[in-house]
Amino acid sequence: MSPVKRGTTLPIHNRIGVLRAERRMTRAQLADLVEVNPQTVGALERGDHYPSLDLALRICDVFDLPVEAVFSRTEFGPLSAEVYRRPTTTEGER
Amino acid sequence: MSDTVFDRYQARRTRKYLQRQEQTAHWLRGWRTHARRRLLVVLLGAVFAAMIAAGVAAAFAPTPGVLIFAGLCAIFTPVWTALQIVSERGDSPTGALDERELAQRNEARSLALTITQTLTLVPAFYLYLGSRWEWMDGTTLATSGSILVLACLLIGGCSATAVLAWTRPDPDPEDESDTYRKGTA
Repeated sequence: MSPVKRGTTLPIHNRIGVLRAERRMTRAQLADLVEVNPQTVGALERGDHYPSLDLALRICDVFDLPVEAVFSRTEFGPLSAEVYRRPTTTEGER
Repeated sequence: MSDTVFDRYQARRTRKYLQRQEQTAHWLRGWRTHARRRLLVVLLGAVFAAMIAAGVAAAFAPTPGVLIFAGLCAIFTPVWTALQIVSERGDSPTGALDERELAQRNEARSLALTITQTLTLVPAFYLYLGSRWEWMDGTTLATSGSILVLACLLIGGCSATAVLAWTRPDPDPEDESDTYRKGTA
């Protein structure tokens, strides 16, 4: 699953499913663009396979996003909440 | 950098593999499910068990042992061919696979190598020890030993594909969908 051969396997979370849905793209279309089997895209979305750096960069190129926007060591929250979250008011501002 | 003979061989192998895969892509559609693939692996396992039994039987009755083994080879061929058509293959060339498929194939091949080495040790020791048994005829020993070696090599050779056929789940319907469906992501 992970290219790391020794030590603890750290998770690599991704937003591929959400980004694909935003662009109304099928797994087969994304797979075609990054030159992998559609089942591999499914495995990436489910977290069953962690991509190599090469594949990760190819996926980022398709979405035209930096790596940190697509992949992360920590779980992603909803994208809409990150973009449209209301600024929290602190006590001093009231 | 110029292509070496090995590179050209690999490229030709990949080309031939992809051509064959395209040709057989729609064959035996009903046998491509996980349950049916497992059934083929079980059938193959039964044939291999019978082959080992034929090898042991040949130590006592060489001619019937050989005939039974030949009959089992006739059963093995269509089952093995069907399994190769409906499953990911353990001998797929590297150029035909993506990184996930390659990792899975390599894991299956590693297991297959261990199976081959371990199993083949048994007839190797049998042949060595048998050569010292004065009560055993040399021809009988060679007949039963060669059947056992062949059976063990067949088991090892088929193991990678059998492991992939057994472990790979049915594809997610969305993987093969040509159109985007709302709410699938």
